Amino acid sequence: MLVAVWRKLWADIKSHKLQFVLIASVLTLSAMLFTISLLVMGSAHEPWERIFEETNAPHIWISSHQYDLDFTPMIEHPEVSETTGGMAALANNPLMIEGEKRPVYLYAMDDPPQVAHPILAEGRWILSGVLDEIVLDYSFGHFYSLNVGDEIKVLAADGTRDLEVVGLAVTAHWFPYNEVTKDIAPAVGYLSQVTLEAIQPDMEQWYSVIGLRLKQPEISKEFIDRVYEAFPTQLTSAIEWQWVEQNATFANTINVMFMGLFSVLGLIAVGLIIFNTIGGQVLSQYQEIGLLKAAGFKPGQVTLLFLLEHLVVGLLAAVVGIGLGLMLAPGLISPLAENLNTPPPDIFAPGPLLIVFFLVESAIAIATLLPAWRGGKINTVQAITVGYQSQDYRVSGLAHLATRLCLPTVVSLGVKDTFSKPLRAAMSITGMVLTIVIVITSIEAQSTSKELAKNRVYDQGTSADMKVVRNFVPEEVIRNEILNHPDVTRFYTELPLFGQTPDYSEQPILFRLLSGAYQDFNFQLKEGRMIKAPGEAVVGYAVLDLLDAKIGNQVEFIIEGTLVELTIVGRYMESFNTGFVVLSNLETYKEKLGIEVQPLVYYLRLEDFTAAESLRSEWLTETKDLISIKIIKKEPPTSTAQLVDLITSLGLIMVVVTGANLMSTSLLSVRERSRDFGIQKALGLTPAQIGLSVIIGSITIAVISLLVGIAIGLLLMQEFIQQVGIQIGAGPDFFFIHWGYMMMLLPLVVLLAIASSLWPAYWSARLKVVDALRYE
Amino acid sequence: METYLLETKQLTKVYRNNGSKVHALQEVDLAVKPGEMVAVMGPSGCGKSTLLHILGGLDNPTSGEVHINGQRLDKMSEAQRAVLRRKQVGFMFQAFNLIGNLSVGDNIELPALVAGLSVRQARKRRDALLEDLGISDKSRNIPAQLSGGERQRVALARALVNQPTILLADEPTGNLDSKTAYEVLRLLRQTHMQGQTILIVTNDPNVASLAQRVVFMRDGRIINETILQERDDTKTLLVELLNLEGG
Repeated sequence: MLVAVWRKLWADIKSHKLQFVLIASVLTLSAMLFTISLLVMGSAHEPWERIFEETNAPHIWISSHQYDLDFTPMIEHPEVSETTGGMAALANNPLMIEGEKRPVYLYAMDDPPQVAHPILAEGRWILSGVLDEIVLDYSFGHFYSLNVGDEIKVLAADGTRDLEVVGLAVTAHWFPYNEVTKDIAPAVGYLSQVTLEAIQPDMEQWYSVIGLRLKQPEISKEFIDRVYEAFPTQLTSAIEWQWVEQNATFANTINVMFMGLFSVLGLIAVGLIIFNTIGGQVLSQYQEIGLLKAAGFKPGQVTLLFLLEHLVVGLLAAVVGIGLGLMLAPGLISPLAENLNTPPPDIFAPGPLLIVFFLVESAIAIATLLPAWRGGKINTVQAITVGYQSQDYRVSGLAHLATRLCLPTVVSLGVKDTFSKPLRAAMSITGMVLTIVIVITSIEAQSTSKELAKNRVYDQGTSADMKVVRNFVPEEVIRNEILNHPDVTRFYTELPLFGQTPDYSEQPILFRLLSGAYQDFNFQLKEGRMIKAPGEAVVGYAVLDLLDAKIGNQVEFIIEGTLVELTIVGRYMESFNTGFVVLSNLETYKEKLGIEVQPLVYYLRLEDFTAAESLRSEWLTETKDLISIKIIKKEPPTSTAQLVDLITSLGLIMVVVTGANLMSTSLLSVRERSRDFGIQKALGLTPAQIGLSVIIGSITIAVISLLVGIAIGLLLMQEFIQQVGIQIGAGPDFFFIHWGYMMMLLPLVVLLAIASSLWPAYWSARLKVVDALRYE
Repeated sequence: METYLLETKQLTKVYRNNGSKVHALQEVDLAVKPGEMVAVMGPSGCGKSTLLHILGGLDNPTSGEVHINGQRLDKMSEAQRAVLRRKQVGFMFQAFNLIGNLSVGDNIELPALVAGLSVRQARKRRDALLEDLGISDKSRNIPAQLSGGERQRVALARALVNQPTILLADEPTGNLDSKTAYEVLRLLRQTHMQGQTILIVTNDPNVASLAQRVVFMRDGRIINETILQERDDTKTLLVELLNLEGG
């Protein structure tokens, strides 16, 4: 049998070189996409939860400003199953990166503990007792392009101190460091005890920290209450795992959902394409099946021969495809892993690679068995003389309609031939629809992220050019040095404070209390209007949702212990704090409080000609680096851009696979219809008309797929992005359709259809009538 | 000087097969007058089908000339031959060669539409032919739903829809039982009686006996030619039989 398989394979390769190349290409690219999709799925599947399990992360972190606090009562508590043991930490010694102070929690961790042991993604762990080595949080390292071997400065008690980055590690006990979290949460670094002592010799400045794993994780809140009762004055903070999870997974929500959706669509599309290509290939060989049966093969042997032949091709293609996938994967997967704060997946892990083999070979087996089994059963004489011909001919309704509409005959024939094999046409269309949905996913991801960036949604909805945080610098300095600078054309100020509502006291709400010319800064209002007078508020979607409130409602809030009544006059798009944000006037708060409060943040609009970078350097020098200045970009954050690029890259690969599939299907189809072409030529159709009818058939498939794909894609993406928008607090109207790109899809899809059917069209046009009509 | 509708001069067709030459046609001279019905007979492989294909512009000769209605076919490009075929040539094949997923009506209309007739004109001609050939009720059927004789009738209707100068028939009864074959022959005769020029390739003497002239071929050459007279016994018998069948 193996000899027969080899000879048949070799004969097929020699007789239909292009067809074989196309099938091999489709299988190879499919295996490559399978590989990448599986690796993406592996990375994107519940990243925080996986790291939480793998690092054996604690359910509660407790820290105290008392460096020698005795944690024994907690360690021995019956509800506690494991602990990190007491660890020393520093919280007030920032790292100096790109000339700016970046707050960081520095833990003394000579040896990673059993509980909360970080997973090394790159480099090695610090050597116990060795000075000036640091392992940084993986997401933080990548955010600032810090690599193993780099030196960074830490602000020490006696100036700055150089540390060597020896490793990057992933942890689940704190937020991934990214555009959203960097302004609200410090990064994490691990040092030896001696390095900690060298940075801050005064132990009174140290914190003591312990991580606890509970037997019943769900009681973490009650447990914390008990800890506070036992240590009423000694604790600085107690953080439960649910809060970390909420914040850590929030940042990844969009990424995880997008990549999950994309991977599933990609897998289905590729499966269909394999099924279509291989199934068509077997159907086109019914004459060979007849000949094999005539030569003495039993139906079962025929099926086995075809099965083995295609499995061999599939095996070779899978090897090459997996190889290509592994070559491309690091470039595509690493940014995703950085975004999700997971270690880059081990791309050589045998599990996913075996799954790829299994998927490719399974799809091939199913696609081969059904038509080969049918082929084995048909009458031998019929198989030899006419090959595969459906016994279930139906009048082509589309062709009839085209004729009635007085469309050119060539169009009617092209349309007719498109659906001469309804199942194949349906599968071609379905495969292409999925590809178009994926392309629309990437288009909408591009347009939504760009639209959000254009509206500065990533920077808290402001259309300012620069954000200045004065930290501890007196307000007069900011006014004199910055706000009165000739390059500053407009500004507004903000005092950010956290509060809550009386009914939902556990949900922190950020109050951005504004003053200055905020009316000129084009906040992205989705409903209502901007605040004009004291007592008014514009809120994020999540606040409206939480309170079940509407524009016009009066709502009570508690800001820093002060009860404030606000009238909601509008809703705006806000990505920060999952949309639990209220914009109000600083005057409102001042009136209630009765004391003078000063803003902390300043949003500036600069002259068009201003060189923002040099102005920033100038101001940082003047204020001795005591303020923070951020230039607000009009592009999406790097992490979002990387994600969109990943989706776009994979979408482009899908387009290539789809093109190869279209070409393969078209070639198989014209081979099967050679007799019809012979008849049509005998009836007076010119070669050009025959070729054109083939191209029209391909265009018909492409256009139908496009229309269905756009409809499904938009509905799916709208629903999907709305859900994402609601989850991240930006609201349901978070979806931006780029109609310009959508319109461009039509010519692109038509071009793809033309390109993929050119050779089949040429082949059919060149077909000799006499050969096509030979039946003896 | 006599005018011919179809004429070949020194027509030769050579196939190359693994380096060796196969002479399918050798210096064939054939002329068909308007309104004439000619049968080409000969053993399998004698070149009669190749001759028919070249006369219909489906294949190109290696050398020699083909004239159809005053036009030099052998000098034309494939596209020009296709255009000529639309109006001048109708084909009937042994295997019917109907398009499986077009209805009977659409199969018949197709050549008319390709030739540039409007949908209305094509439908008018289609209906007339279906009526003449007694298959009006089959217009919406697909070929697979028809008997062999009905399929060949549809093929005849399709061949005649553009009122061609010449009808070329390749073993038109080869796939039919004798009763159905007689029915098809009756229709062919009826068509010929209306003035249609017909050239039939056949192995069946009964079919050939319908013709006015029978050309015999062997090894790619015309070896003999016989003009059948109305008093010819075989012919008379067959014609009478056909008339009887036709009622």
